[in-house]
Amino acid sequence: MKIEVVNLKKHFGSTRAVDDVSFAFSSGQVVGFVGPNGAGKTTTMRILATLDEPTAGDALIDGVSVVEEPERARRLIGYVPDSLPGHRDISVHEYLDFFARAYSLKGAQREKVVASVEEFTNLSGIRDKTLNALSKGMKQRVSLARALLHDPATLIMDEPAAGLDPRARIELRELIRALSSQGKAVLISSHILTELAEVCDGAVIIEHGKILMAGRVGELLTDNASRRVALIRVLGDREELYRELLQTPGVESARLNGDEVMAEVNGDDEALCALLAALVGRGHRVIEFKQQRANLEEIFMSVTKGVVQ
Amino acid sequence: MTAESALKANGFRAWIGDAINPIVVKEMRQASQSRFVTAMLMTLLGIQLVALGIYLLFSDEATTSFDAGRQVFTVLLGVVFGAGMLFTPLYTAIRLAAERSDAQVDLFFITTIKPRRIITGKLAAATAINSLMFSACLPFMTLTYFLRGIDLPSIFLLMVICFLTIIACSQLAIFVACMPINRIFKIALGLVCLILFFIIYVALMSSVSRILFFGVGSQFNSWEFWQVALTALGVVGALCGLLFFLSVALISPHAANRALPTRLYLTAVWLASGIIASVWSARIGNYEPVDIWMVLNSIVFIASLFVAVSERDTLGRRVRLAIPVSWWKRFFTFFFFSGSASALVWAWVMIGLTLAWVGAWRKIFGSMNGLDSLGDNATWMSGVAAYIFCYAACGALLRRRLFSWVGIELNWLFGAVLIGIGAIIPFLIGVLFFLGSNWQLEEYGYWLIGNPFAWWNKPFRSLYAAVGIGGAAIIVLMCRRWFIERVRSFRPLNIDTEPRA
Repeated sequence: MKIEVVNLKKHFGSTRAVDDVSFAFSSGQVVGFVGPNGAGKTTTMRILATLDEPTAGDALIDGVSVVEEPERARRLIGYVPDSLPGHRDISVHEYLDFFARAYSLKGAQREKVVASVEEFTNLSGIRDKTLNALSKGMKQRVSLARALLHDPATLIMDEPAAGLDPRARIELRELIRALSSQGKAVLISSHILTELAEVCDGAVIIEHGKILMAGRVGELLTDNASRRVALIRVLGDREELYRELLQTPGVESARLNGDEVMAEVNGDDEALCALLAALVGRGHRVIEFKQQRANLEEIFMSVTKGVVQ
Repeated sequence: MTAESALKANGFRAWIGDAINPIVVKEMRQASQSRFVTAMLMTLLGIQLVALGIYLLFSDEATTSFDAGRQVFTVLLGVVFGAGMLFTPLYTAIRLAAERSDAQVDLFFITTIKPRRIITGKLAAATAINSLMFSACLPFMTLTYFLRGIDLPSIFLLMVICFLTIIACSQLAIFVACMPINRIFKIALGLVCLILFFIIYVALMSSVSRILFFGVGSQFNSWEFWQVALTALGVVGALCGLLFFLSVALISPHAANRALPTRLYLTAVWLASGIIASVWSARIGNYEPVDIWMVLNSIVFIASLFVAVSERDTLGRRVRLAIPVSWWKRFFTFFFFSGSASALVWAWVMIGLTLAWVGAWRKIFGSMNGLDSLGDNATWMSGVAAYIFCYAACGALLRRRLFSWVGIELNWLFGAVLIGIGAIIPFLIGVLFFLGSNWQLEEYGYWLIGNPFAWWNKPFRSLYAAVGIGGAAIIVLMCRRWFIERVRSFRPLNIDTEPRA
């Protein structure tokens, strides 16, 4: 199954909340949707969930258009909003049972599905509590349970970790991993980038309604940097290495870092290879030469400007 | 109970459980656990108990008056009907409006539940809550039978009338809650509805004492009683049906062929009611049923001209995929499919058919008294239709040329504003600058030239007709290219040559 967002646009008056956004991902992938506040993440996700209609463009879930055939697309999508819409006077079980009915699940099958989803999301113990008596973390679980009732192939999760305590976040991460291993495609937005980096295979960075960068996390981490940072440990005089590095062409800067020397190299992986070869050639006894990888947070900070529309 | 019968009972329970609309299940679960609903029911019961108790204990009339039953019943019915008119539509509409608010759309709208089931569920839930109220009050009200001056058929019939009125008002409230307008407009419309409900309440309660005085039981064998009852039921039922289909269309996806069910419904109602009205008129030898049919249907089709100009201009892929290949099937489907051009043609065809029907009826029953009045009303309706068409089309043109940033769905608003301007401004200019204190003289009719409803001004009818028909003809000429393009583009989608954008 493939999820394709094609030239999606959503304008609110003169504001271009989503401006020609295109990206794609497939079954079994967890894709992080990253951007500052007001970047257009929620709007894009709401369009994917068939809650809003785009001004132009489309999104296809396994070839089914969310614009032209929202009814069919809804069978394939589970949507977890950033907060559970208010439902007073209804228990967790009744809420899930209602949605199971709304998805046309009948009789014993409905009871079985609701029970298994409650078990999967660890809600069995609180099934008789009313929704407004639940904590934020529990409400997120209920929201996820609701989204899973019809066993959708795609999950769209808008800030699911917002407001959760560390334990709830870890549990949510485990749930997402489990869902991904079941072959579901997951699009997840979050401000907590360290969380995303741990569960995501890919990431889409958006700002001002435009995509700044998209791809697999590994590729983003390496491709993004026009400079590489190498951590070098040698047997022998590290200060001599430090001085030599400062005079080496292509090395932007160097500094001592404990028993290592950190060198910022202008160039790609080839430049790193050349530096290692040069150091060995000059007789340095290199025992460790590794690239310090940028993290998602650094990439996010480097590509976004933090401007809110 | 044997094992087999227990199994059957369980199976039946499961079947019932599955068959019930999910919205009803949810609404009733929430209502039964809601303190607000419980408090409202308890208050209602308390009021009934106190009212009946005080009357029985402290009023001498309870044993002596010949209309004690009528009096008490009227008070009790007034309480339950008033509470129902206020509570049921408001409760239903506020909940639905909140569920459809832009910021927090309830997620059941993105499940696979069909829009028709959602509206049916909301209406059924309103009916259930209303039943709860009425069944709670019914014992007190039937108790009035033991006082004097009231019969059981009257009690039950009045309760049924009030019950159905509340359901009809709830359907109107559901329609308003479904409208894609912002909260302020929705509240304003809600207030208009509340005023309407109050008028209905006062009108119905004022006729209750008359109905009770004459008694209903004795009238069950009278044809006149059933004429009035069935006509009222038919008209209100047809209006509720229209509101139901409109509500379903409003919450259906934009890409869907949303106009189809509503237009099919209106056409079917038009045909069925036309046949009934014609047969009825012929049977009683009076043109009035046909006259009422013509006026009511014309009003609906004239109003649909406003809807027509606000419909989508170009057809989406989904609608085009449903267009038949065969040309003659395509010809008929053109009238019923979504799209501004289709809607305009359908409305005009229906207005034309209604007037033609009346014309044919006049020809067939030429000797009947009062047929001139029928003809007069038909001409009036055609004049109003021509005027409204001009205003609606001008509103659409104005929006397109000067306010292109406003959505096409608000074309009707521009048309409505133009009607206001056209009806009031020339008349004000006339009164202020030309007529002075002589404004009541016949000449003021010239200054009503922009008013679509000025047909009552007999000496100026030919002028108004000329302006209306002339204006409509100019608009048709201006829009002919646009219309021809829409007709030409009304063809099935070729997936091979027209891939998804």
